Amino acid sequence: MSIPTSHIPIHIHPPTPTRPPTVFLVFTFLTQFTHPLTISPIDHCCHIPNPLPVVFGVFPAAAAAVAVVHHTVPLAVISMRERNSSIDQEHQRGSSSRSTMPFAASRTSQQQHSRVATNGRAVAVCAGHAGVPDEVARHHEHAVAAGQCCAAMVQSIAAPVDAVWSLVRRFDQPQRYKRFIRSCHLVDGDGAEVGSVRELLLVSGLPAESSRERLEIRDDERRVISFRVLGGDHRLANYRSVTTVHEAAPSQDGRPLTMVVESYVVDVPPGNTVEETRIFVDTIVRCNLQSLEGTVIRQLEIAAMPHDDNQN
Amino acid sequence: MSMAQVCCDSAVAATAAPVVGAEAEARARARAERRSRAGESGAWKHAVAAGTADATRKRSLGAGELLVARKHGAASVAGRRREMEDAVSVRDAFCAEGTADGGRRDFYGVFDGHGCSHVAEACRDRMHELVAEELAATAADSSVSAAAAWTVAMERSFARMDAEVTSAGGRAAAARSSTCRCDAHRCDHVGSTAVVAVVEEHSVIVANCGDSRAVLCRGDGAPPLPLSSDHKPDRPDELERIESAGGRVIFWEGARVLGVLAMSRAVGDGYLKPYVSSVPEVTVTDRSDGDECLILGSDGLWDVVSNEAACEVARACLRRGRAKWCAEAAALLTKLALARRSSDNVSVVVIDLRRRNH
Repeated sequence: MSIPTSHIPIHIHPPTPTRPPTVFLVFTFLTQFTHPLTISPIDHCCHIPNPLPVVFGVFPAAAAAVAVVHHTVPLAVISMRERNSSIDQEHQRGSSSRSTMPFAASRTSQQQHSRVATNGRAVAVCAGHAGVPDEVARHHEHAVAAGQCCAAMVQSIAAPVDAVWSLVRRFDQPQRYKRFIRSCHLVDGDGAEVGSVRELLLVSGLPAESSRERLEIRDDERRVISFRVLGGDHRLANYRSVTTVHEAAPSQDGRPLTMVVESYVVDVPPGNTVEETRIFVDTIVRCNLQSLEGTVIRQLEIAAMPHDDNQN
Repeated sequence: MSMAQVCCDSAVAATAAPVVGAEAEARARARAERRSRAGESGAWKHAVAAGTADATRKRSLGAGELLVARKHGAASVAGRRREMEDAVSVRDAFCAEGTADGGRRDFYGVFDGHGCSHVAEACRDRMHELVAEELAATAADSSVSAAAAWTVAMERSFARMDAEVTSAGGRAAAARSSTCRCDAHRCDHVGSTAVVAVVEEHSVIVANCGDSRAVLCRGDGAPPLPLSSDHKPDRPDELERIESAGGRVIFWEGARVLGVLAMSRAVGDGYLKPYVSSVPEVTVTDRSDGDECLILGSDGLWDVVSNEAACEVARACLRRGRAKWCAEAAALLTKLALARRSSDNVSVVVIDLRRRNH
């Protein structure tokens, strides 16, 4: 199925019956990776958006924050799905288990939102890329509630896709490429299976000390990894991250090029604005993506000169 | 891991080896758990300074007059933070170039690291050498005033120090001697404050970058004189500089640059350039006969102890009339900071500025 990607400005409009295929695609993805779900696309197309003021209050600021940075391009992935009762039940159970965690505030309101999207695709602002491929874009569609913000960032790396993915996929050793981590310990599961939980201790100087995170998705075939923050000593409640790694078209000189997209959704902490939250999270994510690039390049350089001791 | 370091004279105790191995890590976590459970009732241990050795160095001048090394004391303690990331540097007669009247220059520095310890350690090991080199270079140029020459020398020294810790080559070189296990190529999230004092016969020169501080205790009950100004992101001129550069100061558990770092200037922190600058603010202060001492400290001290209280502690130690009063003052200030629940590493250097100090 082919739906054209376009750079239509973000606007809000009620869904019409002419878009059932998009809705179906979104929920197909959701069903595939999270839990069984029976959805009638026709029913959701007819939903009336409510409340609009909340929507306006959240997304214009997010849209305004889009900016182009060399090799690191923020993407405004603004996409919402109607909530099904099964989703609500799942959320309620999650809230209950998280209620004892510091800064893991549960969402008490169940908001129904209309679709806000450009044909359900991420809006990419990057002169060097025609757009994030459909297969990757749909992984970065997040269900965003009132009081939350989301964003995505892209990092191009001149390296083979497998070299990049081998670092990104390690849920048990994020410190191999991520900054700010002092140590990582698995507290549940083996790090490879969905549901594994890790406890991160963070370095000094940050407004955070620790983070407890659960592996939500790890798909080596599609190169998708996702985690959710369950708690810890920080202010990023209900943080969920998705990272995809895919092969981009080779550059002019034919060398391999990999594109990494990391998107997230998180509650806006009390006292801060959407813009402030995005600035804070983007600073950390950008630093980690640049570190990933540096780490991969260094590994390849070392591998290319196995007998040169000066490299080690 | 030792919880405290105490150093006197020029000797700086080697930092304890980092925790290695799963078992050691488990013990460290258990300690952290016990510490958090102890909470308000937790008891902190602190090593008291062994004391300054008397007259450790003498130098003959002109008509046989003896010049004794300035008495000083230094104390550093990890406190409630899990890691020790502060470093202290004391370098007597660090500069071959003397002052115009042939007097000696002594170097003192306090460096409060964040993210890891190796930037602070690099500052401890190299900053005095860079200052000495830049002083020699500046001395050749006699067209500038003394204060301007000091500013140029200090700004260049700090810039070179920053370049050393942010360049991959510099980090790799430093990593070989440092106690941390960072990959030298993944360290641009690490930085350090730097408050540096050079004490001459007639002047005290202070260069500061970050939120550590230098305070001069004048005599006769005069109020303490700050020789540095803390670089906090919400200081009006710092806020303006950061926003002019395109950055933001966000209140995220305190005012922070981009919501991340709680100081507006630091050595290192490459990922926050140009918002977090390594340009020091330099002051040149004439000494007077009544001056008692100079106190350098990290924010672990100054966050919980006012300038006035620190000077009172130093004065009380001075009045006891003991030879090791600087070391006692440094140790006591460290204890006071811990007693007042400082949540950071604490490092203090106290330098005797009295004219006839032997």
